[in-house]
Amino acid sequence: MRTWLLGTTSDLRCHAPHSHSRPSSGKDLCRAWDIGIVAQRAIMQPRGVDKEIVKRGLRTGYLAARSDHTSRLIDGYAALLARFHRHPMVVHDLVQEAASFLQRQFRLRWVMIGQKSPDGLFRYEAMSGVRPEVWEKQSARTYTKEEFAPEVKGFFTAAEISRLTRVYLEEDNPLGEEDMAKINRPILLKSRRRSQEDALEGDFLDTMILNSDNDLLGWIDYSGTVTGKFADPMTIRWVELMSAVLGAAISTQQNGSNRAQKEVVRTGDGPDHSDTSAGSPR
Amino acid sequence: MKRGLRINYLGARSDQASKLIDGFASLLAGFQKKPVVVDDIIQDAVNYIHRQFRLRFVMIGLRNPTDGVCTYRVEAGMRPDVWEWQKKRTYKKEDFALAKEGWYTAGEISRLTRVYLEEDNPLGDEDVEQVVNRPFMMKATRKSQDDTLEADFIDTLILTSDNDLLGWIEYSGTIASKFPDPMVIRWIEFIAAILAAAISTQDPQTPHA
Repeated sequence: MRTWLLGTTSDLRCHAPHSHSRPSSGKDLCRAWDIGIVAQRAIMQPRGVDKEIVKRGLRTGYLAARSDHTSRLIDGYAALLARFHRHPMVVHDLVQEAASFLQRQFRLRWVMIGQKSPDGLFRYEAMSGVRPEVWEKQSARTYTKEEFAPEVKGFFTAAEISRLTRVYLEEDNPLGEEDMAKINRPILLKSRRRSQEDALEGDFLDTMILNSDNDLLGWIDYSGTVTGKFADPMTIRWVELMSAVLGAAISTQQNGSNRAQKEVVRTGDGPDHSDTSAGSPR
Repeated sequence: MKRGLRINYLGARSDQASKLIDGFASLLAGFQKKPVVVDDIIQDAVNYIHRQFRLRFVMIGLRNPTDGVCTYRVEAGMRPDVWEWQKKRTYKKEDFALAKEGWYTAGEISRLTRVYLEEDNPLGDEDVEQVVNRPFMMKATRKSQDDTLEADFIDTLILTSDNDLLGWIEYSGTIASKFPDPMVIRWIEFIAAILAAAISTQDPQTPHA
């Protein structure tokens, strides 16, 4: 947006003889003064913009940008990063907040986040949007690192979307009767996919949480949207950024190089870790 | 279907926000080093901001947790002799207040960001020589609201969740001499949040450099 500073007529008269506007003869100039044409020309002449207009413009532009969807996402991620300031940082709380944020912000049916436990097995730590009885079963499950490979014999079949994300389709991974209890809305299983974007009840995406050596720290498991569609590609990108935030938090916890190491291991509100029968389908 | 998901994903990777996400993820990967070296992360951040948003210069300063003195630590786009002067300067936390008698005058853009205009903060001859990247460009006329002058700059503060000052990101306008657009300021505020997290997680025993 371009702005010209408009001075008063008397102010413009003072500056008119030095203006860079088209030169006029002396006679013309006298006449022009009489009818105020020079003043008009001077009004068109660009001069320094008032500094208050500059500051107000920057602030107004910023305020408008804050209502943008991307801007709101930035606020959400910044709020999660603020958890790093707490000493000790409680990673479980951060993971829970991340699950709730992703589900709410991207209108996903459910989100579950798991991480590696001290015994080397992987367990779900937090969820949002999962029925309590389903969560009770899911949170008791354990997985080994190998089970996160895209193809494991006798396990789930995935298709790679990116280095971090893969999709598990219902058609590729038929569920047994006992697995029905681990599905949020089993009544919707075996419905037909009508378009490429449609997500079925048994579909899910996994975004891995890796360290810089590509070692698995955890994973984010999520459904389609509340309108029964797959998460759009930008949503997947934002979930991948969340995996980077969680990767940083988990590494910070593991590093032993910071104050957050005096981690409060919360007991009681984490999942029940009694079931160690690894290998059952997700 | 699976191919469609992958192709759409690849399409989204060329999106501007998507490219930025890669940059942020890369900064966050710095947290995985043992120990976390904040100076490495802020050096990556300053290079990234300078390159990605096409700004003339960027500097990041930190507040020393021991004596509370604030100094510039890293830069991108500064002339070496100017940087020599800049990094010798020290500030106190109070110097970052919006209006301090006898000090810089700023316009507030947001809770974290303020703009310092050349008109509000006339520089002495000595300052022009020492701390301005292109002194011959001083006293140019601002022709439009989004034009930047040589001595304009923007500060985005790096704060804890208790609003305590950890450092600041200082930057000029773009190479086209325009103010960064509002979304760029928002992204830089997000980088300030990443840096605040990095500084907070650093062991006080770990040396900065």
